[in-house]
Amino acid sequence: MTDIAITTTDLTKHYGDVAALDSVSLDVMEGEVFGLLGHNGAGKTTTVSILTTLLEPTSGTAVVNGHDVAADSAGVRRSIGYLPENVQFYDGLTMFENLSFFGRLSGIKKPADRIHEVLEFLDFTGHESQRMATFSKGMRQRVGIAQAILHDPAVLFLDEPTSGLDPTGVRMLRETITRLNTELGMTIFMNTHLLAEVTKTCTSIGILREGRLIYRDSLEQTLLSFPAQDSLEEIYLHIGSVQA
Amino acid sequence: MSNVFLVARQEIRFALRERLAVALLVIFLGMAVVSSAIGWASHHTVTRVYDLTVAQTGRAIPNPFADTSPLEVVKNTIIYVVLIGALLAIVVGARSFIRDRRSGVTELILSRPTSLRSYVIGKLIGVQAWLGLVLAAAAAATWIAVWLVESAPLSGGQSLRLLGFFVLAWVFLLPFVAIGLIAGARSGSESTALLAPVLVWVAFVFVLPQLGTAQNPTSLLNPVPSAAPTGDLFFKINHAVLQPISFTEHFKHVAGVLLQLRDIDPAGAGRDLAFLLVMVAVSVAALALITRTAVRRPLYA
Repeated sequence: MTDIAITTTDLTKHYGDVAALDSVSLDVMEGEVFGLLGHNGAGKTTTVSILTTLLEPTSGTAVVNGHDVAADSAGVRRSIGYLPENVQFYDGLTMFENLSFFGRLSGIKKPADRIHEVLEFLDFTGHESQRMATFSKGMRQRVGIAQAILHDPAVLFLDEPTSGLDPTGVRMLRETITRLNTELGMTIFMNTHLLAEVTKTCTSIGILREGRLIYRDSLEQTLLSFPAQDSLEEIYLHIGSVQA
Repeated sequence: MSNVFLVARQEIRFALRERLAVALLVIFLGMAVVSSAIGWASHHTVTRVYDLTVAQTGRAIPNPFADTSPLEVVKNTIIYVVLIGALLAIVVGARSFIRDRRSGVTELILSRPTSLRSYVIGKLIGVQAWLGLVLAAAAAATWIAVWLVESAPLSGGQSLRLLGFFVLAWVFLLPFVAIGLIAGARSGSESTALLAPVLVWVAFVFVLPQLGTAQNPTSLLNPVPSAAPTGDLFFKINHAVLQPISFTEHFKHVAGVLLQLRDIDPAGAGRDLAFLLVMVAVSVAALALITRTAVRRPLYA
């Protein structure tokens, strides 16, 4: 039986009078690649920020891998990996120094072997002694993935992971996400507004609109449920127009 | 290795690589050595005048430096700690958070299994450790400089007093590091993060002592006896209110006692040291002003 990896109940976040999230209740099962879709400002990043304990919710609860984000934030952080949108590192340090620092922060006492193992998995060896300042956006994104999985987390959060990447970078990242899920068994929670990527990588989707979750189902069921629509893009627009 | 020491080690690594921090270190070391040279030149001039006077008048006038401690020549280092050391502490403290916020790594750090408290305390320990290295180097440079200008090494007791002075300086700089850290973590822009703590420095180094010791204005820069030359009630009240928080004055007094300066009255040194330690405790407690929300905010130029 598959367990729940992430569950939120009436999750709400207000910034002053503005409700960025409004009573979002959601379950993501272990082993899923979940894509959270929505327009800019729909509340996707706020959701990920709460689930990664970077933000506190105004009300409601969220549990990640069995740890409550409010009551046991350290437990949540131990069991997740996180790749923020536009991931940044210490530019003056080498890739190895950066990964070593974040590995140790994640509790890995001697990270050298693990760094090598992860870079092998990502097929990204040979750049360890290169300073981060010299890295392209696509290379930074791969280092970002490496730092996120160094401690072998159960759940991986990716915030707009393909943002700003060229087509080669997008394809490489897509393949990496799929391998992380199928080979390492990680549950992946991904924010995106690129629907083509969702079709190719996600097993289930949710749609946020103005802070409310208006749709949640498996990708397979979604495509079956809307036979009149040719693509996920049309389904997304259709659901949005119906809910409006 | 706990995350506190991991962050601290990272801080030391950055401080050793940053040009500004290294430049300030060199300036501080240079001033420490120059202080001894200035002290020696001052003594030498007075002694020459004394020798000339004795030779011309044939009268045995007491030599003002006959019984002074050789540590008297490093008197100016006290002022350099207050002026340059405190500024150095503020800049290094502020740049610590500016670096992380500007490079955008705070998001990653805070998503790791480390608490904000470990992160902040790690930074404090790292910056303080780096300042400890600077002061240890300054202590060694001063000890050698005094040996050279006095043509004799310091005795064991005098060496301990010199060491005590630099330990006191290290403790004294902690509130300035904390002020820099808080500004670096909470300011919306890089320029504010550097300017705001400099204003606080000006207040503590110049304004508060000026107001609090207005009854004894000559004590502003040099450590002199704190005896009040006036009994005016206004000055007395002013002094009573502002003197406890004028911790640069406490530092100057305790440092003067440690270095056995001629004009310094040791009375009240214990109380001044207590005031100084209270300021250290308050500044460490003030680090609670650094919140997750604050350090996650983007930093503008």
